[in-house]
Amino acid sequence: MHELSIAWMLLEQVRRHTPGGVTVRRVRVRVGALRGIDADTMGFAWQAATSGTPLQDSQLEVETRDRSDELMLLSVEVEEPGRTPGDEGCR
Amino acid sequence: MQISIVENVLKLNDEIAGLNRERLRGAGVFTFNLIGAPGSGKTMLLEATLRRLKGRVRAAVCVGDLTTARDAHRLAHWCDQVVQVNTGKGCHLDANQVRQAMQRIDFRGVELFIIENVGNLICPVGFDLGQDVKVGMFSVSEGDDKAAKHPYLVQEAAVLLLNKTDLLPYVPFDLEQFRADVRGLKPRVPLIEVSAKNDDLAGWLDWVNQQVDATGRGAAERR
Ligand SMILES: Nc1nc2c(ncn2[C@@H]2O[C@H](COP(=O)(O)OP(=O)(O)O)[C@@H](O)[C@H]2O)c(=O)[nH]1
Ligand SMILES: [Mg+2]
Ligand SMILES: [Zn+2]
Repeated sequence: MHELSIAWMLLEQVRRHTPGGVTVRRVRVRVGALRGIDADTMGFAWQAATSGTPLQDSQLEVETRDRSDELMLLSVEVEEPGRTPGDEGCR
Repeated sequence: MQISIVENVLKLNDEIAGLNRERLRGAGVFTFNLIGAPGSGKTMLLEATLRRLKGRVRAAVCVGDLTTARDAHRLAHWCDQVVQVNTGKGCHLDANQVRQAMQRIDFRGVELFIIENVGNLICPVGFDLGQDVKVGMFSVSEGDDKAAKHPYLVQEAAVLLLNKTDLLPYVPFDLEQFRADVRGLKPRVPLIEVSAKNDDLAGWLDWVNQQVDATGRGAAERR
């Protein structure tokens, strides 16, 4: 299952690109069809790779592209410490 | 907050592969990365190839498997520099594993570096190791539809092998269909039909010798 080894690499890469202390909510990647990567399996592999790490509640969003072999980390959605989406506005 | 990145997930791998390639090219070594399914006969082909090249072409080998050093033992009969890499759960070799294997090889005088990848037709194709070319291997016992089902390997390989041709009389395998599938995906790729078991390797050995000679000549000219 090469999705898992790709998930490990992705995890390292996301860590390199995110400042310490922030919570990662969502990770977006683009995968070419030639890579033979299944989007569902990739999501499952991401859960397995991040389990027990600070990224374990993050979501992986996989965008696929035909006739391509690319494998791109596109963006990471983070939440700064002390602010959760529910805090915005008053209650 | 969204952090935009847009970076190849394999960036680190590809950078290390680039360093491997620089080192191998600098040493005048021709390197191929052999990719095929488990059991297609990669190790047997290499055994037969090394046996035939022994005393004529100096070779070193890096062989990847999830576990065991069995392939390295088989190859060590024919080559004095064989390094086994165990990938554990990893279904492919990566550039860093090859870099580490290369540290255990003395490349002085070596003209040919062979990498036998972990048996897998899919993801090894996407991991650059620093090789000059990828060689894709299919075999008769896998069935005649495997090239059509693995277009990425066919497209990325500089040469394709069909092994176990000695089984053609016994196994249903439509050779014309297989050839047509390959040509449909990559019209000009050389498709060399071999039998590692019967030592039927003529076209393949010619190809290896040509590549080794051309790489050696290129390196000599640069000096
Ligand atoms: N009939 C036949 N069997 C072969 C040939 N090449 C390899 N084999 C057999 O196929 C099996 C797998 O070979 P091996 O070299 O270990 O394959 P690898 O997993 O791709 O390295 C072994 O039982 C070999 O003896 C061949 O050309 N013809
Ligand atoms: Mg083998
Ligand atoms: Zn893999």
